[in-house]
Amino acid sequence: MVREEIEVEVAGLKLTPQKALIMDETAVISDLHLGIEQSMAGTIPRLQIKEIIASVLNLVELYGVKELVVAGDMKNEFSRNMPYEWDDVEEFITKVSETVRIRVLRGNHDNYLATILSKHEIALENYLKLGDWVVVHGHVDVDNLEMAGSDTTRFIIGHEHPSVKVRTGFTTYSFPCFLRATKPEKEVIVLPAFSTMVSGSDIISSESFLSHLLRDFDENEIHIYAVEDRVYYLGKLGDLRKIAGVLDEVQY
Amino acid sequence: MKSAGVIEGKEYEDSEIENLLHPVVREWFKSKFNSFTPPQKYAIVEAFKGNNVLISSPTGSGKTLAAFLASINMLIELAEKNQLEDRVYTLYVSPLKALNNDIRKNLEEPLREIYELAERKGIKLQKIRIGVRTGDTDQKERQKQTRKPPHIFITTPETLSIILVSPKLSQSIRKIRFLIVDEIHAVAENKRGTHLSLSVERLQRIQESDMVRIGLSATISPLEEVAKFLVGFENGKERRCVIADVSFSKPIDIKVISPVQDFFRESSESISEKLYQTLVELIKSSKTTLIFTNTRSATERVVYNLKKRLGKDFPIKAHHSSLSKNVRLEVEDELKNGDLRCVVSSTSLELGIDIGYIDLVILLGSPKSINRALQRIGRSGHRLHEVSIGRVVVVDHDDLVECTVLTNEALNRRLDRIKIPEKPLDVLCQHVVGMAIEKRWAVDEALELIRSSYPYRRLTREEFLSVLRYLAGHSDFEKKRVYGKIWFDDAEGTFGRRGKLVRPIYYLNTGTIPDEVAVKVITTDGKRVGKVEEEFAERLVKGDVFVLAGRTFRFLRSRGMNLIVEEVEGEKPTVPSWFSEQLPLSFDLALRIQRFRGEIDRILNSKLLEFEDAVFYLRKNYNLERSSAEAIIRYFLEQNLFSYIPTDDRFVVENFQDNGSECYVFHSLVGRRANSAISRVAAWRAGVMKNCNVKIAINDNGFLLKLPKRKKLSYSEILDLLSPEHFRDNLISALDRTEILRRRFRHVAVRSLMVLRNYLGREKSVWRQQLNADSLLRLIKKNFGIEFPVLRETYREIMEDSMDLENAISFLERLKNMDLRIIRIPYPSPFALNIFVLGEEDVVLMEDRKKIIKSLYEKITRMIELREMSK
Repeated sequence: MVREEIEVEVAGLKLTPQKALIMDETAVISDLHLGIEQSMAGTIPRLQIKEIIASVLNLVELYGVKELVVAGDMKNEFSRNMPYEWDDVEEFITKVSETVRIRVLRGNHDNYLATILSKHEIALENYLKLGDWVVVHGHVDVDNLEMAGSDTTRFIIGHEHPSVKVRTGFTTYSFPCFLRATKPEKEVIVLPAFSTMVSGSDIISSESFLSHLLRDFDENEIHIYAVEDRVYYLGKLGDLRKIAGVLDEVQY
Repeated sequence: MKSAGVIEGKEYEDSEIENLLHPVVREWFKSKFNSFTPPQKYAIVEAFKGNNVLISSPTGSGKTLAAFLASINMLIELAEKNQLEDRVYTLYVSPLKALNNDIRKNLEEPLREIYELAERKGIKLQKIRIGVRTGDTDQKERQKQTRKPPHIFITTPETLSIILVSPKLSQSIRKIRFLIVDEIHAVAENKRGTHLSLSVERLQRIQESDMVRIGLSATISPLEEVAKFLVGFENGKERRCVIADVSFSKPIDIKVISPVQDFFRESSESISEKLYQTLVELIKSSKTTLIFTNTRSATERVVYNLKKRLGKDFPIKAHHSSLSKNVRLEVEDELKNGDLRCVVSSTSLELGIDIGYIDLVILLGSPKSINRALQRIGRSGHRLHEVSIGRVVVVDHDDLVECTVLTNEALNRRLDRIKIPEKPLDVLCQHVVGMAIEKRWAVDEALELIRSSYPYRRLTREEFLSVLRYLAGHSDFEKKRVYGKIWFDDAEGTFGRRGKLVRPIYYLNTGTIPDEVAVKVITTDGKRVGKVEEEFAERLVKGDVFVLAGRTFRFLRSRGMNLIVEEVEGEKPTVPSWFSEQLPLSFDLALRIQRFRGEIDRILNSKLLEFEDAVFYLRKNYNLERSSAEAIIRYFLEQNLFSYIPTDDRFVVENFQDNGSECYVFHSLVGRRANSAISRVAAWRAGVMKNCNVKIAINDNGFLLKLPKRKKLSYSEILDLLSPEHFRDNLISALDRTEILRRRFRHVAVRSLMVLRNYLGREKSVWRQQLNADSLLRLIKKNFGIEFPVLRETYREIMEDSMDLENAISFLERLKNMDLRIIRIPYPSPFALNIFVLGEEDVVLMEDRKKIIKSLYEKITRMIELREMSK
């Protein structure tokens, strides 16, 4: 039986329905927001950690991953380490590092993450190189990062929580998505948020992106790959915006 | 439903009351009034005797004095003996903040007069302090109240629940003699009332002497149940309560007015023109007119259109809850001073704010409940013996029928029954946290207190334990229990407060009214056109068309927290504005309309009677104008020609096609709330049978299911849609992924303190913007199951408070004995027309997310292919 293709290959990288990007034996995920249950508005019960660990382990097994890169915002709270975050980050690292090496990049939410990571001898890095790609979270202007060999033109980032919001009838659906922004002198791939609890930001209706890395792209230079049971290529942002978010009746 | 605890009151003689009064109070009363009013005759002696009493009477009947006279008398006696202590003797609670200052004024005036009289007589009296405390009271005033507690303390339900945990002030409310609860009719049916009822039982617990409860209510039914709601239980037995039912002492004159002869034969412009002409004539012929519409937007529209006809200098103004407080106060003052000829209001002037002299009340469109009609019409002829005059101006055929029945019922004083919410767990959560702040509790002791509140009389021990476990954060992976607001020792059966933050959390988050966060709507050239609720804004996707302030806009993009739109005149809205929350028709009134239909059906089908006879019958029995009676008969005749007349013993289902889609109209006529439950279950079942999405439109008279092409339902399938078997379970399935589930879940999550709307000064709506509600719901279900208190209450609130599960099921049970007619017709029947033109309101989904993204993918792919081909 032929296995149906559920991933999409883009510029030698694999975009998977598990919201991960795979290159050889390395998987990149972003925006886990561990501990988000505690820092929103007071505290709600812990909900996502088990599911997150399970999906990472599933991903590792499925693609034979040897190295897992968390491209920022591993945890949620900016200002300090909340008790949930300690628990969740600990649990995550303990369980996941049994099967795979973990590397963690700094996101805008990760100010105090280093304290937790250092116990496990994991460094909190600002960026890392993956082939001729540079992986960063995307919140800091890359010119401000002291990067070895600053001639890089290809980036993999998180930070945006991109999603596609559509409505059919009177129900609204939001699908997390990858973005690929490309022009001759630069290329950026944006990962969807790995956490299902954070609400995505609708790329069809929002006016601009957060990351400066995306600001000089035209809407026709940005391609969209939505995630559900598999990865769906939805064409250019400009085209998607023309169709708008109102989907005609779904035919049966 | 009479029971041992509830006793019907009696009317006492003036002399019996006077004999109880302090000589100065008696003299003051006689100098001001000739006699006691009916509510005073019923209530004052009972209060003196220390009996709980529920007073039901119309506005302007001396209710305030009926409630306060015993209390004033007691305070004067103490003041004369120099025995007034620094504590609260009388606690007055009203849900209307606006009313509180009025009440203070209404008490200060008699007290001043009594003091003047005493001074003339050389009697020295200690000063009696009156204090008002609400969420708006400033810090200085609060501190003053804590140092020197007012003897008469006026507050709101929310503030009361805070006072209960305030370390100092709670010491001053331990020997309350009179607890007065005003406007009970406005809270008994909602969670504010549930919340208040628990506060009252907590207040009861700390009393060191006997506290007398006095409840005040407008027209409401059944009074016995409201009385039990007021007084609750003690040691498992109902407390005693005397009912003073004087609600019908005020004469009323109600009539239906139809602005046109026949709604079907006139254009909407001409109906609208004649409607305003009718209003103008009514306004001109009276001194001060109060018009009630049912929605805020209609209020603005009516004022605008009346001004156009009456001239811009005509003194007419709007009054509704979206207007700022200052504007509302200004309008109220102008009304009181007689400066206005007309005020148009949605619901905000329904309740007891003193609005001065009104000689005519106009109800524009059905008020949907008999109680509400009486309450609104009671705003005219303020004094007791004046006739209240109400005119119901109808807007279409269904409205005409509905208002004809409603008017008749109101004149015959047949009220609709209220329904008190049953043990809402979210409100309970707040109080358990509050109780834990007060002291350490044994589970049984706490359970007994909670069960003494009427809404919680049937709370099971297991339900209570589930709330304690939830609040304490007892769950498998809650190692540190950081989210616990209380500690709970399951083995020992005790619980108490946890941590220092709990008190401020309780202070800032107590209450039951959901927040409404507004989002600005701005045009592309930067003009502000208004605001929409954040929850509405969240549902919008690019390209959506919606109505705001009577204009139509297309949503283009969002900029931060703002929506950028362009005006698109005449385009059909793509998003329903069900946030406008139309008032639902009461179930009781719906049943009476069913019977009315049956009555007319029998007349029309009796061969002996002619058209004229039927008109005569209606005019005679329903006090209708000739044109209205004719319009109703014609309406029924047309329905009869085209289809069947649905009645109280004939259930009609009509099937027709609309652009190929199969439409089924169910003439259930059980009110919107029960229809909402039945329609969703029917749609869900139809979706399962046919494996498709089913669209729904619901109104008070019935509902429409719309199925895709060729998805036809057979007779037996239609019967299956309406089966009462597994109804509740199917409804829960039908609610999956609906807007109502998301919306109510958010409200319940906030009320249960799972999500704090205000946490250490953070912005209220942060969590809404950042958390994905669907994912949250899914994870909670997955981790804790559907019995998790927050989920359980969400479903209960939807099914029992927002919808009417009980009556939906009982109607379906009754349906088995009804004559079921399924008829195929070429287009919608006259009775179905209003349901049909509503358009779809919601959809019950059978397909999963995969289908949605796939069809978007295919659409995009086609577009790209087409472009490639054209190159």
